[in-house]
Amino acid sequence: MTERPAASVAELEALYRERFGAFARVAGAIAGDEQSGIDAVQDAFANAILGVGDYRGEAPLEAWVWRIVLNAARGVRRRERPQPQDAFAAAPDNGRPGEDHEVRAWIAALPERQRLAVFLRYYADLDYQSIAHTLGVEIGTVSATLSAAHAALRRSQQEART
Amino acid sequence: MTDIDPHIAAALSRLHPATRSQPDWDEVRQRVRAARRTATGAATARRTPSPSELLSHPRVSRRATAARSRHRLFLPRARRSPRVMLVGIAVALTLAGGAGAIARYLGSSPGFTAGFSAFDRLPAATWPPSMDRVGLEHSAAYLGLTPAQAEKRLRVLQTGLTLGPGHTQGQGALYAFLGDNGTACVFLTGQGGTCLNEHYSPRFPGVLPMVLPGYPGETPALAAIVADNVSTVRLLVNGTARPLSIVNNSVYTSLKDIASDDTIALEADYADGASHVFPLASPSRS
Repeated sequence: MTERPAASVAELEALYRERFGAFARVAGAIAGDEQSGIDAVQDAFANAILGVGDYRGEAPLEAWVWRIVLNAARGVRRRERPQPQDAFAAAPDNGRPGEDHEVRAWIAALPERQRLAVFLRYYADLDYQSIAHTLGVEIGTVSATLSAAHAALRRSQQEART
Repeated sequence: MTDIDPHIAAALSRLHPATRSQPDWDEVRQRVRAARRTATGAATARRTPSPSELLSHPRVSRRATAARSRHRLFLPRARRSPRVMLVGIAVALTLAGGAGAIARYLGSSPGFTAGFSAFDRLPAATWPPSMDRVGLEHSAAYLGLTPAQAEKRLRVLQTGLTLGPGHTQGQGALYAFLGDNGTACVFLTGQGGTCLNEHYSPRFPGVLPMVLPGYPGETPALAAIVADNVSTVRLLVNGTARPLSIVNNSVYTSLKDIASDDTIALEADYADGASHVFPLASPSRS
């Protein structure tokens, strides 16, 4: 019988303090805004503390927490009412979305796994192995997923330029 | 960001810059304590969509306040007598149904499953020249459609709407198209649009509302599309109802007389006799 690795609240607190910026940024990207992202991170860590006994050590503690954060952020996004600027327009540019709106739309159009992989790679600076642990996929799948996301973004960019 | 064009990488950074907020571990611990306190009534303790907004409406306020006071019955105690435990369990079982009802009331809805008959009846429209076409492209992508597919589904639901002194009177028109699986986008010419896609579980059953803040020269407005199962819609201003006309599965009303501290909500009656109140954000005044 293998001994279950211990994860303590102190470890969670250390992880929270060390990686708060990355958690909040990714959660904000998923939830739609920074404050909702921070809210999701707080909820996620509260849930992690409550469920720390469920951690089995099958993946690093950070990956386990990342999964909880992603779920919390997705939950926030599902619950919260979309604002007009989620689609386009109704923003300060008043119906003339700029370059950032284009990129937002391209990102929104990506399949969810690709979008999460992009967020984890570029907003949290996770390596492929950590993304694999977080998304529960093989490392090769991460590589293929990111490659597909990059191709889709490049394609959207080229179409926008033509 | 070696794999992504630097142009996109920079935009990604601008979209979601690194947070300046500091980690607040005390807040996490408070949430843990709150979750433990309300463990027997988690349905209402969970962070539901904008509960503070919902609580502002008298009807919801009564229910939610009652629910909160009920929670006090379930604060964990170190010791309870068997009699108190039995009473507690009985009350908990009774209130579980009530909590579930409140959770359903506050929670997500099944979307637009009732359909929109006007979209079958009305002819397809072309994207209005007064709106940047990129809006169609973005919103189509948002629902997983091509621009051509979206435009094929586009309908003009209302015309002749007053948009404000910055526009010609009666120039406004309300457009919408439906995606798949209960998704939709709605647009008001000259002002903007909003969409629901598969990432959202629409909070408002059968209603997709949009509050347009009214930029300088424009009239703040409420526009919405409503599904066939919605029979009547009212705008509640500080609890006072103003009937709204449903035209081609849509409603539109000016909000120019709404003060920034007014509380507004949309109340919808459904064919099955149910009624829901949807708190709305007041239009910001510029």
